[in-house]
Amino acid sequence: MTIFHGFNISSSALTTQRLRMDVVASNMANVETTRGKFVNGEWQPYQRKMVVIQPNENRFSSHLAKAMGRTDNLGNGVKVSKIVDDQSPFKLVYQPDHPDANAEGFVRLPNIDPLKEMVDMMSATRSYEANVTTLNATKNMLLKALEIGKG
Amino acid sequence: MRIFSNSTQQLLEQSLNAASTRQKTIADNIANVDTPNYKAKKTVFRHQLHNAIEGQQLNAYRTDDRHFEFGGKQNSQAAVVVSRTNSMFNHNGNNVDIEHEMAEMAKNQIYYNALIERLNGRFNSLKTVIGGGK
Amino acid sequence: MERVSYKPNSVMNNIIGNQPIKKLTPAEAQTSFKVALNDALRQVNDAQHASTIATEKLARGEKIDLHNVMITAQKASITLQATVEVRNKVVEAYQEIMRMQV
Repeated sequence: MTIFHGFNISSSALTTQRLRMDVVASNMANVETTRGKFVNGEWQPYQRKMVVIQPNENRFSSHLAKAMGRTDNLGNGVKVSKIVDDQSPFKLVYQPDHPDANAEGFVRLPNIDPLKEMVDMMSATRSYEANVTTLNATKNMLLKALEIGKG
Repeated sequence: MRIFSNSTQQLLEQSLNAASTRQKTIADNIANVDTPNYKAKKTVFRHQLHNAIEGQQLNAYRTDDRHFEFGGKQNSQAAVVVSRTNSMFNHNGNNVDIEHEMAEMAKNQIYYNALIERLNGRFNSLKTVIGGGK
Repeated sequence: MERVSYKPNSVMNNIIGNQPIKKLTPAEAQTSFKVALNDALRQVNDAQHASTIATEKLARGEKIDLHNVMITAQKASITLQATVEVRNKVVEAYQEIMRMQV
């Protein structure tokens, strides 16, 4: 692996956490969106989005290393493989005079819990900061290595 | 005198040129982080391209030196700027990933510094030998 | 008072591990100097070669650690400088001897 392997790993983690943060922001913004998608002639509310995070291991080198039984394969960071919809049921609120109320007077609201989103946001922020610290530490180590033999 | 015509010296100089091109590309990407429909660019070094195609190169089996070799002459340019096509787009068509660009910039700086160090080391060794240590 | 008896010289040599100093003939001295010189030059060459390979790996972005590149480079540089200094001293010694009035 190159001298910049640590950088690539941290950078992939930063991208992933920022994407996770974007998803949290999208969920928070759409807490009350009753008209998310138009499906089969009726409006569906916005469905909560979630990210699926996987290790970044689709490269040929990692498969080859596994096949050869080598144990020094550290992996290549993380990536977001897909953004999926949360399939949990929508919230039902009794509001008979809402334009999107159904026959019984219930409105379907998105299945978003603001508290859960806040916890996700804090987790994403802390992960982001931790990865920035890691990247800076790697950078400082390399800069120090450049000073070997001087002074 | 042909003190500086060996392959390592040329590799170092070309790599420095390529690192400089890469810095400009990164600066371009960062400046356009919010431009609609802007596609991020990246700089590919010739040795990266060479590694990628090396496994597929077909060499001619020549029975006489005067026969032609397969493959055209090698591109002497060290770095090629291409569009980054494998990343996700924003709502405005922009695909610049700011963390990636910042990490690339840090990497490029360290790469450039390391190459300068090595180049200095080589020049100093030459001076030691020529000057006899005085 | 006890009598302290001293062991003979050969046993002392075994304890310290010293060989008694052997005198070299001029021919042997020349050969051993030549061997030492060739050895030193070969080491310089090997070190420079290792440093060149490490630098090329760094420039191409291949699998190597940056501190290994720097350490290899420093070793080559110091080996070279040491050998140049030894050469200078040898030349100086030769000139000194040539200056001696017979």
